Amino acid sequence: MEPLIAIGIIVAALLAGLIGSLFGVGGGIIISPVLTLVFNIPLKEAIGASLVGVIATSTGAASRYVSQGLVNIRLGMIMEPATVVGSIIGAATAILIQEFYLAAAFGILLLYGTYYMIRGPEATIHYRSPKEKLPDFCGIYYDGLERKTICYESRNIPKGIGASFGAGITSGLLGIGGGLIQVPVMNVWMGVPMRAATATSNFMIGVTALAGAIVFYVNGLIEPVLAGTVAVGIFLGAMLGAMLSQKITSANLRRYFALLTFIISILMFLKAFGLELGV
Amino acid sequence: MRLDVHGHRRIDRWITFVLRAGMILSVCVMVLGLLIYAFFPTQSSGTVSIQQLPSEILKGNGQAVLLVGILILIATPMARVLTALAVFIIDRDLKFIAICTLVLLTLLVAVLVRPH
Repeated sequence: MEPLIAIGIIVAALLAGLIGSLFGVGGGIIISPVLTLVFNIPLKEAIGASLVGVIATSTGAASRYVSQGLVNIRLGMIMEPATVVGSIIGAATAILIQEFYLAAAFGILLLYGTYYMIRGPEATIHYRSPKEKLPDFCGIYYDGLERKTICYESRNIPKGIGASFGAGITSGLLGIGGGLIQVPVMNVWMGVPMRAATATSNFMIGVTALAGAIVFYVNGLIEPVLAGTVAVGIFLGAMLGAMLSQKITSANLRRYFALLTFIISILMFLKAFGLELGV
Repeated sequence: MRLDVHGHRRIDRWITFVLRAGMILSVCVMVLGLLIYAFFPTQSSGTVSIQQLPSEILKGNGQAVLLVGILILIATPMARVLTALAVFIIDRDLKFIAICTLVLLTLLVAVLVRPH
């Protein structure tokens, strides 16, 4: 790999890691498109490297979020079997189908992501008062920005598990973490405050991407130099992002998220039609 | 659920440790691999198989070292699930022991998937 290309990939991965950890996503929504759009890497190899990158984002950011007490570990873990199964199915599908469909699917997913985040105000979370004995899926943490202790109870767990299955499919299929689905589902359907949803999503997607990465690896689609370069860049970005996240308000997080997904959606549609036209 | 606002619950501490350890170890090995590859690029392209790893590392193959780092990285979420399982076993939380085991089993299935 040319040194200039390697540096370019590290910079792109750093941005992906930064944005990824701020929004509870894996950065894969940036890395896969950038690798294929800017660096002309075949989409399936890009997806394989991106999955490794998602694991890097998740590990880097989650290690901070867990230490801050933001991650609802039990809630994350109950949704993980569904994401793993979904990811396996998605990865197997990605390996089988043509690149055009993958690129188009990317575009569609990202448009959906944009719409979802713009659609409504952030969900009102019904806070509980901290008591001695709280049910399994409650979360409690200290919010540095609002300077108070937040206690919440999650609901609609089965619905969340179903959505996690879908998130898992997108993960294995497109090399993303699935946070694009996980964060809004946790916030809007399950009653988790945005900051905790972001943190829990970052935590979960490591395992989701792991499942997809295993499938890609045993099928020879993970190129070490590419994956390694992406991972190192993403680690740097993810650590930076987790440090900054307490300083950004929840409402702004949603807005930036929507703008981001919209831009990338357009780019991927262009790519899909470029592929179709043999460009 | 034990109440502790500042995240000093045992499960949080242990998982933080495992994630940080995995992250630091994998990044160090990957950076090492990248440096070796940068200064001593190998002619071979494509992936190195796991059986070849020990001999390739001794040959000074940067890609092989890189692959070790990637494997450590990939192993970290797995280690995190195992750590959570350990905590749930200590806490005798049957529900979550079952959930963790389910996650591990489904991950093992991934190894077997080879679409044609």
